[in-house]
Amino acid sequence: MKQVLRDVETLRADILAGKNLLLAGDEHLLRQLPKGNWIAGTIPYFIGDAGGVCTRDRIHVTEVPDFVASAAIRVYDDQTLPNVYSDGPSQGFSFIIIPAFSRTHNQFALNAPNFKGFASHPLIGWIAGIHLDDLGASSPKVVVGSTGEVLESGAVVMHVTLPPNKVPEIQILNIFEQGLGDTITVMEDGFSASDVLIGGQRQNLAKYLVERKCDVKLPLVADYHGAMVNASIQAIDEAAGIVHFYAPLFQGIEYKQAAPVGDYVAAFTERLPRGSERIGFSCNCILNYLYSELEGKRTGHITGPMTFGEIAYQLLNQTMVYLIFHDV
Amino acid sequence: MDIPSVSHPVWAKAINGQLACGFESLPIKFFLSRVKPALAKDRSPALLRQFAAELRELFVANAQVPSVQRDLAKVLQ
Repeated sequence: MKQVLRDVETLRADILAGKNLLLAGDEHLLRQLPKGNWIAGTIPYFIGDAGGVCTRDRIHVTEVPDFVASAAIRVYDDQTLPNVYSDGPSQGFSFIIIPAFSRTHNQFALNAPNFKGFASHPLIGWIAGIHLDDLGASSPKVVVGSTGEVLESGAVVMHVTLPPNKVPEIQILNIFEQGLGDTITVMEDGFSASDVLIGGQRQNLAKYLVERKCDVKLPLVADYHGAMVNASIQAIDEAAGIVHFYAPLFQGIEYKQAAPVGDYVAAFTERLPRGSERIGFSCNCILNYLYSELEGKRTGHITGPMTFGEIAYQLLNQTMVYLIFHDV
Repeated sequence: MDIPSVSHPVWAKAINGQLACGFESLPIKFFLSRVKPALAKDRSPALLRQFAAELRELFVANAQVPSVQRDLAKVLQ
């Protein structure tokens, strides 16, 4: 799939030509687009061909390849979201966008691994966001191109059926690894934590992180059978003794704070897989963009939106997710 | 490659963490990571059978994915 930044006029022509498109851009741009077979989420941060960029003038466009058999748009609400895996094509993949801070975001983050048919087919996507200057003044949204609906909650999905000779696969690239510090476990699932078990002892996590001057740019990392899964720290409310995260922590999962990373771009490009030129879609995390100061920097030949959460079957943080196609 | 029936002992070994084979595919890694804390709370035969069936179903559903094929080969070694 081709990923490029386009202005509205160029994109309008592509939509009217009937292309199947996955879009990311500022809300005022998305509202100008004609109806068509596209879905979108709001975000103004991208890695483009020239490197990291924040723009309210262009839209990031991923063209679904011409070889697909079909690309059907469907909107999910909180009641129907648990069907998102079982509704997917047996031969293909599904692409999902969910607005950040919405109930749907919360529901997906906490419950997706328990949805019927979890991971039975590839589900990739991202969490829509906003310009950081607009926090509190605007809200992340998703747009249903086929109807023109703009939604603050719910999920918009494109279920894509592939021909028999194409097999999709989702992979992730996470430069963070567990550090050598204490093991942290939580006593209940959630986006925030107060008292937790640290090295088996009950302690307040906020107090622990503050006293040890832990770098809040480093996520807590869980080892999922070799896949490193991050929960990024949003804020520490020291007075209330609560740590807020951008993804939930789960009971029974062992977390450690990530080991420091010196040069994000170098670490990222070192880990790029062979054959990464076959990547059809990729997105990365706004926190990597901010913390690693990616504006103007290229990350190999990888492009895509910088998001408020990444989805590779389930919600991830501070991780690049990507889709490749195998020829069989 | 044929996928063993749900009663094959290899599925129970996989969900019990008795196969140290370094899985490659995300669906399998994520599934096994979900299973582990659940089994720490409840090791009833019914739940073990359910997870074994779900794991096999994941291999069936993703049978064409190269990394899943490699994982299946490791399971069957």
